[in-house]
Order: sequence, then structure tokens, then C-alpha cells
Amino acid sequence: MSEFKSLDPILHSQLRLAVISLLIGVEEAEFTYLKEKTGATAGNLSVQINKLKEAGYIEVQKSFKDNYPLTQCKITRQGVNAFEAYVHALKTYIHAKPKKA
Amino acid sequence: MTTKESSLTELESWDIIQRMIQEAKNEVRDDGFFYLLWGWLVLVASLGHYVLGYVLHYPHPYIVWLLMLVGVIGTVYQVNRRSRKERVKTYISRFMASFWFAIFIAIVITLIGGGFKIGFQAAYPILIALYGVATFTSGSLFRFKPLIIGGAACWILAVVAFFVSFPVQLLLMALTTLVSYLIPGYLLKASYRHERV
Repeated sequence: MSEFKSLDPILHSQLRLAVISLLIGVEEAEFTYLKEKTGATAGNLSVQINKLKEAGYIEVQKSFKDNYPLTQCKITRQGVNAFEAYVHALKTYIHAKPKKA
Repeated sequence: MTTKESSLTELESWDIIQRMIQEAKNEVRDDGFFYLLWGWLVLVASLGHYVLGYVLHYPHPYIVWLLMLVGVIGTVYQVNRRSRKERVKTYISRFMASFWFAIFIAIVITLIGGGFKIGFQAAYPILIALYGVATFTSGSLFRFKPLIIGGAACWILAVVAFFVSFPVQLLLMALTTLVSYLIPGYLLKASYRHERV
């Protein structure tokens, strides 16, 4: 089964994959936007964002907007490469399996 | 959404990617507000100039162009309001903001040239061509046919404008705003509402 590339464990998680998939198409997004689109709790999202940041897949900027804390996330080049590799690996798995109805 | 990891299947992963990319794609939709604002203002001003100057023979018909100040104030207010509410920045929105600002500067330069050097009759076809550049490019970027057609129509009207008198140019300007701003603007608004429902 050497044709199968292993799926990146950082991205092979529902919430982290959702965050990266949202960030791949935009320049940067606020924490509240990611929270709304993924439907995750603030605590869980915060933990997963930190994991993505530690892996070097996203950049996180903290500042203030109208006196409220503002967290902005942006995908890095490394994150884009990891996402592309993940999608590529996923394709090899999906194409190898018979499609379910 | 939880942090499901080990039991996440490949198809589930694929579904998440597709759904999230679709969600982010919706962020670049245009509600047509600025097309309608400027479309109505330029339409009223050009027809007003025509009626005041060439029907009623009022000595200062160009005064109606002061309406453009309403457009500038309305645009600055809306841009500020929207950017405060904006929670996501896209490459397309950044490009569009710079592009329309550049078009605005080119229009101002043409108006300065028209007012102080070459005369407005020579400037109007250039203004119409610039409207065409703006709407055609925006339409191509959003793959929105009415804007592409409106932009191309501007270029035809710009060529025609070189060969007609100033009063007729005013009517052509009104026609330009109708085909390149108002019709696409209302269609954008309708499709924006449809997508958001």
C-alpha cells in the first residue's frame, strides 16, 4: 500500500481542517468569523488554532478593535503546502475506495 | 463542530473542505450598493444638466454635478461602516478596493483636464471609457455577465461620444449609467438577496 500517502495528523481533525479550509480562500479572518462558520465553541476553537499556529500552518495576530480584543488568523505558505499535500493524499484514498451510494 | 480525529473518514474530510471553501466563497459577493448609488447620482446629474442647460436654458446647469459630493460622502461612510463590520478579508475585496480607487483618481484627473485644458466635450468619452474599464473588469472578476456586457457597451458609447455634441454626450452619459451601473446593480442586488436567503 505504498501508493497511499499518510494524512497529516495536524490537518486530519474536523475542526482544524475546517479552519484551514476557510483560511485557504481568504487573506485573513477574525476568530469570531471562524467560530461562526465552524460552529465550534470558543474554547475548543482557541485550542485548535493554537495547534495550527504551533505547527506553523497559520499566523495569529492579536489586537483591539473598538476596545474589544481582536484575533486575526492568516494561513502561511507552510499551511498552504500542507493543505495541498493533504488534499492530494485524500484524493488517492478516495479514488482507491469504491464509492458509496 | 468538535475535534473528531481518529474516526474522521476521507469522505468526511472531503465534505468539510468543500463546505468551508463554499462558505468562504460567499464572502466575495457584491450587493450592488455602490453601482446603484453612483448610477442614480450620475444619471440624475447628466439628465439634470441636459434639462437645465438645453431645455430650460438655465445659465449654470453644471451645478447639478454637486450631487457627486453626496456620492463621495455616501461612499466614504459605507466603506467605513463595512470595513468596521468586516470579519474576513479576501484578496478579491482588497484588489477591488484598490482598483476602484485607481479608477476614481483617473476620473478626477480626466475631469481636471476637461475643466481646465481640453474641455468637457473631449473629456466625456474618456470618462465613459473609464466606466467601461471599471465595470468590465469587475464583471470579469465576479464572472457576472451583466457587468461585462455593461462595460463593453460603455466602450461602444465612448466611441460614439467622440462624434457627437456635448448635449448628446450628456444623454449618452445617462445611457452609460443605465447599462453599466443601474441594470447590473439591480441584478447584483437581486442575486445577492437570492444567495443570502
